[in-house]
Amino acid sequence: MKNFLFVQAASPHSSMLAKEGLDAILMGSAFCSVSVMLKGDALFQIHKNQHAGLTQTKPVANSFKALKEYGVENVYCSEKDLSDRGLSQDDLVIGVTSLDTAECKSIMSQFDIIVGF
Amino acid sequence: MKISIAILGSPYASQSAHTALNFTKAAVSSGHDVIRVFFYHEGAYVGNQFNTPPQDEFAITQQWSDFAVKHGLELIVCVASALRRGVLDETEAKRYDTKSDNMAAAFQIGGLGQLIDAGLSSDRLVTFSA
Repeated sequence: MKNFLFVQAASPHSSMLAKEGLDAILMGSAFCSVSVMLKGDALFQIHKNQHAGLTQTKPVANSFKALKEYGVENVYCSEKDLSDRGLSQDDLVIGVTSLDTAECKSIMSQFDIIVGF
Repeated sequence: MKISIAILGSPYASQSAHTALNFTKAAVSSGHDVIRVFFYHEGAYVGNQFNTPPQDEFAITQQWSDFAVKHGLELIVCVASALRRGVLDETEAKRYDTKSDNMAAAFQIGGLGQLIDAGLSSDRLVTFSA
């Protein structure tokens, strides 16, 4: 069975892309092996203490907490993207595997299908 | 080669649907098998038959419809993306009691599962981002 890597690259509330990408991740996890990579400002999708209601949007961070129940084991990010944004693991609602650039490249080469949102 | 296409960009705020159409035409004319074209996120707007650009502009919705009819392509618009953006086929228009439906010819409502299936059943899934 093919495996999917979904690459989320959008900030959480600038458009529907984060939410619609997440919907695709959840749907994919029902059919096959799915991993997720959070790129750039997409890391804010899993930032703690978001108050999405203030911008009339739905919180996306909560859905990430459910990923494990959907069988999504691996959530990756680049350590540079984390440090560039002054974020540490403690600021995030779920644990992520942070990788250097070479590791990111090698992880991505392990997937049959990569879908970017 | 079996190829599926995912289009995420809005027809008038992105080049996504235009580049994807050029790519799909090239794929078909090179003898590849285009399994499915999946419109998601802002790409759902491409399926709106009420898109009525001036006559001297490229009519992206019409162009996709015509090409799909000519080559028997499957154009799927994700139902969640489409409803959110006011693109409804006859069934959905009845269900939500809107005054009319507006899904363009050759476009069909479908579900996200068809995007995943497109990935699984094709040799390549090519995404044209927002």
